[in-house]
Amino acid sequence: MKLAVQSKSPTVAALPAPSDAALVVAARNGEKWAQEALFRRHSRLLNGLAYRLLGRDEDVDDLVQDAFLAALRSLGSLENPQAFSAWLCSIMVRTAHKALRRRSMLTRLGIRRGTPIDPDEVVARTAAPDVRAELSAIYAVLDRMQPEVRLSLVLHRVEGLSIPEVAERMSLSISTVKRRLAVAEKRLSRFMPEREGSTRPDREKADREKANRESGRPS
Amino acid sequence: MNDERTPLSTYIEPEITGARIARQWAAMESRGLPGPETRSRMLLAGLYVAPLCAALGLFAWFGWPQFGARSLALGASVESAEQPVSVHLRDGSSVELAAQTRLRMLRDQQDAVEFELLAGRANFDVTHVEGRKFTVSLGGARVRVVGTRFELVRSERPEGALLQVSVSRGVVEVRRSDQPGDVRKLTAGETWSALIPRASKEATAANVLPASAANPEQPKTATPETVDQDEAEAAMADDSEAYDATLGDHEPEVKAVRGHAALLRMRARSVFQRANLARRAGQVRDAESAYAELLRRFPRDGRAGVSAFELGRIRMDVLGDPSGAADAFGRALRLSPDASFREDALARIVVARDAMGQTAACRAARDRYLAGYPRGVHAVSLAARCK
Repeated sequence: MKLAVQSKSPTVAALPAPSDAALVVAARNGEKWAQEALFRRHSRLLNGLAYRLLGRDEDVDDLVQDAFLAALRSLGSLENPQAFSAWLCSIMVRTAHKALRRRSMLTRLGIRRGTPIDPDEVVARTAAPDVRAELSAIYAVLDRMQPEVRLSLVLHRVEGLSIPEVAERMSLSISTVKRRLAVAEKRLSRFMPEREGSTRPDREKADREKANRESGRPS
Repeated sequence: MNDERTPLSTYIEPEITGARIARQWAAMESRGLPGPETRSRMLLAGLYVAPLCAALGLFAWFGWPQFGARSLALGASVESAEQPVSVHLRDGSSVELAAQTRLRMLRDQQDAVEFELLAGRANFDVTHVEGRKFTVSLGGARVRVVGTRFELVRSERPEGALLQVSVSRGVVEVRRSDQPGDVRKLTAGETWSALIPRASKEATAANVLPASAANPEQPKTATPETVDQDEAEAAMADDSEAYDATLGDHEPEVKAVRGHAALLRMRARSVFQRANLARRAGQVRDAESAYAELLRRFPRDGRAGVSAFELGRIRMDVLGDPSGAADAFGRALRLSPDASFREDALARIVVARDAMGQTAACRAARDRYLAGYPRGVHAVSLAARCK
C-alpha cells in the first residue's frame, strides 16, 4: 500500500531503529508501543533462555510473561538503559529460580506430578554427537538438582557464561557460584564418566583463572 | 567436539512463532501493563497511603462502618439516558452503564451483592472479596462473579430477550434460571449469548416453572429456544445432514439460534460489502459512514480491523482528516495487531501526526515503526518526517 505523502528527498537515508535505551525511556513513560517493541525485540532471547532454564516447553509462556512484566514494573530501577538485555536476562533467571523452587516444593508435597525432562526432545537433532551427548547428560540430571544449582549449571555450561558472569546474572558472589558449580559437576560426573578430551577441563581452568583475576585473588 | 566459541545454547531453542509472541503479548496486556513511572506519582501515592493507613487504624479500633446501604438503596435502579453513567461500589467495584441502560440493586449484604440488568449494556469491574457472592441476573440467566471484568448486554426483541456475556478478565459462571443444571464457566476472552423467548422470560421473572417443566406433555419447542452462540456458529460451520441428525430433540433450538447468528454475520458482511462498493465507486462519505457503522455495531467481527484501516485511509487520503485517520489506524492496530496492514498503519500514523504538527507524537510513532520494521519500505520516507 502506498503512503499518501512520500519523502521529498530521495537521498534521505533511513533512520536506524531506536536503541534499547530510547525504547526503555519511552516504556518508562508508559508508552505501550515501546513496551511492545522491547518485548518483540527480546522475545526470542527470553523464550530461548526460559526454555533452556526449565528444560521443557510447557511452562515457558508463563515464565516469559512473568519475567517481562516484572521487568516492566521495575524499569525505573534500571540505571543503564542500554544494558536492558543483560538486565532482562537477570530478571528471567530470578523469575525462573522462583518458579523452580515453587515447582520443587509442590512436587515434594505431592501436589504436582513432575514429568522428567526428555533430553531427546530438548536438544536439536542438528547437534554434533558429542554435543548432543553432553547436553543430554546435563538435561538428564537437571531435575535432580536444587534450583540454584541447576541454574548455575545451565548458565555456565549451556549458556556459555563465565563464572563471574554467572555470579552477576544470579546476584551471587563468585565463590558461591563456584561452590554450586562444584556440586553440579559432581552430580553430573556420575552421568558423564568419560569427559571428552581436555577441552572442558581446560575451559574450566581458564574460567577459574579469569574469575580469580577479576576477584583479585592469586591463581 | 564442540567449538569453544559456539555456546551449547544454540542447540536448544524452543519453537518461536509470530503467533506465539503475539499470544504472549496479548496475555501480558490482559494482565495489565504498568503505566508511567514518575516521582510525582510515587509522592501522590504516599499522600494517599498515609491517610488510608490512619483510616484503617480507626476502622480497626472502632469497627467497620456500614455506609454501603446509604449509597444505593435496595431496590433502587440506576438509569442512564443519552450519556453513559458510572456507578462505584464501596468495595472498589464499578459498573459502567452505556446509554439507555437500567440497572437495579436487589441485594447488598456483606456476603452477597446482587444486581439485575433490566435493559441495555453494562460493563462490570468487580473487586474480589473473600466469602462474598456477587451475582447479576438478567432475566433468564444469572452471572456469578469471582473477581473480574465483564460486559453484559440485554436487548429486547420481538421474539424475546437477547442476552450476552463477554468476559475480559477472570472467570464468571452463567446459570440459566430455566435450566438450573446448565452452568457455563466463562474465562477471559469468552462470550456467551442466548435468546430467551418472551414466554419463558416472563415465567422465570415471576418465579414460575417454565411451561415445559410444568407440563411434560408440551412439545419441546416450548422450552427456551437457545443454545450458545458459539455452538450455533460451530453448527453453522458444519451444515450437513449428518450433523442435523445428531441434534435430536435440540434440532429446533439449534436451528432457531443458527438463524440469529447467521443474521448477525450477514449484517456485518453486508455492511462491509456496502462500504467496499461505495469506496470503489468513489462515494467516500458513504464508504466512511459504512466502515464506521461496522466498527460501531460489530466491533468483534473479523472484518473490524481492516474496516478501521480503510476508514483511516479515507480520512487521510481523501477527507484530509489526519486526526481522525490517526485514531482509525490506532484502532486498526488494536483490533488486528498482526494483520498484513500493520506496517502501513504504523507508517501512516507517523504521516498523520506529522501533518497535525505533533512532533513528539510523530517521533514516538516513527520510533515505533522503526522498532518493528528497521528495514521497512517506509523507513526512508519516514526519516524526513517529524521535523
